[in-house]
Amino acid sequence: MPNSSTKLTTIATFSQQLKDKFQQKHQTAQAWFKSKSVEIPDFRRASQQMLAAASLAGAIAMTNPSVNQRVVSDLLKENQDSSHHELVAQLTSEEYDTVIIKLQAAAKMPPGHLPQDDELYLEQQLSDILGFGVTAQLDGNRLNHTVGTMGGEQHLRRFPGDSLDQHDAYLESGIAPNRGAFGWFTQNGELTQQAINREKYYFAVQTLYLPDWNTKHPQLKEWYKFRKMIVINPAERIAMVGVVGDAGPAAWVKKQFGGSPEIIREGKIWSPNSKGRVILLFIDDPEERVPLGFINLDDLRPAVLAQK
Amino acid sequence: MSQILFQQPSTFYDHVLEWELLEELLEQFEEQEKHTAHQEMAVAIDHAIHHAILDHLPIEHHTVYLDMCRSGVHEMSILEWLEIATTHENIIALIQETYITVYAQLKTRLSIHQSGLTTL
Repeated sequence: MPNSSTKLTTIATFSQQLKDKFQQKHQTAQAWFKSKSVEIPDFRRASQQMLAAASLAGAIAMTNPSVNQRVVSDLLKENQDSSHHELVAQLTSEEYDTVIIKLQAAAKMPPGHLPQDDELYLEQQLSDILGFGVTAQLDGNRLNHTVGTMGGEQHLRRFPGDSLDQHDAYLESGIAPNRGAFGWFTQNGELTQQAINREKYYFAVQTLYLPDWNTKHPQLKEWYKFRKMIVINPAERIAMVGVVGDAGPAAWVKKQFGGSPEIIREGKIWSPNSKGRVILLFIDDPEERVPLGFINLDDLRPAVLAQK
Repeated sequence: MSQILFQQPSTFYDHVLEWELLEELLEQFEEQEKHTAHQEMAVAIDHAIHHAILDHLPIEHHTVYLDMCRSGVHEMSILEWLEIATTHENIIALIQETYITVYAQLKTRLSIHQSGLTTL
């Protein structure tokens, strides 16, 4: 009869070898495990406990990863006069839900532009909800896509000599070897708070594939540089305000937009519900009053606003 | 589905694996040791599968994936998400191949161990 106790040791040794191999190969993941004080076996254990609890309670309480979110909607309130609240108040909760449902349907459409009527409708409704103008076309400029998939980009160098460890968060994303296509983020050589925020919340857009890029390159580059845009993630009811900070992604990647690590994480762009599908629009903000960062669309729901 | 190992799927990939294969390996163990053996096997399988998935997932998605697993590794939406997010063209096949590889390695090690004992 084989000694099964020794066989247990054999399996445990093998299991440990796989664990060591994992830790050596996937150091970003390993850092994540360390920061959360969990290990891979905890996934299955927690799931079994949750399923057991669910079978008793009929519901599972799911937690969201906590992120350091700068809530633009709160900041916007300082800028908005009462007319915006009155405007939103004219929307009923049902109308708000209809807009969200239409946005969710739009985000699932093939990459490209929305039908003109839908685009106009959503531009108007979103502008009313957000309290600032959003549009697929601004000053005669329009990207090749309004709807598409947004991939994750690396951090960008903000000034010559910038390095990854000088950035605040999401360092596991790495830093691009070259500066962004629109130049350094610094202003007159100074790393201002605006420059920091622009790199945190930047978009990569495919300016290089614009039909008139080759003939109007100097003017277009100037126009697109740090142009304020908003990405709508309707599946998670989140929007992120950012600026155009880089060109890309390449066509063969089969993604139409790129987002900084902060945009991707805080905007939950690659959540199970979102799968990268978003709507990207220009913000008409000549007075520079729309701050960059996170917007919880549910905070702008008429019923919620009415309570504030 | 295995009656001993996984009475109900508790990860998003349990349902695509032939757990009966590991059941056969468990037959080599004393009854009182089967529970520990099955837990060790599950740990080995889980490590190998997450390793293989991360190998084919762009680095910027690693923590998103781990957050999802932590929130509920049983959620089938993770599999749907992986089908889009990974660079592998068939994520289910990748998981199944990884499982079979680990099973074969386990079987070999246990066989070597058993034959070694026999010769003593």
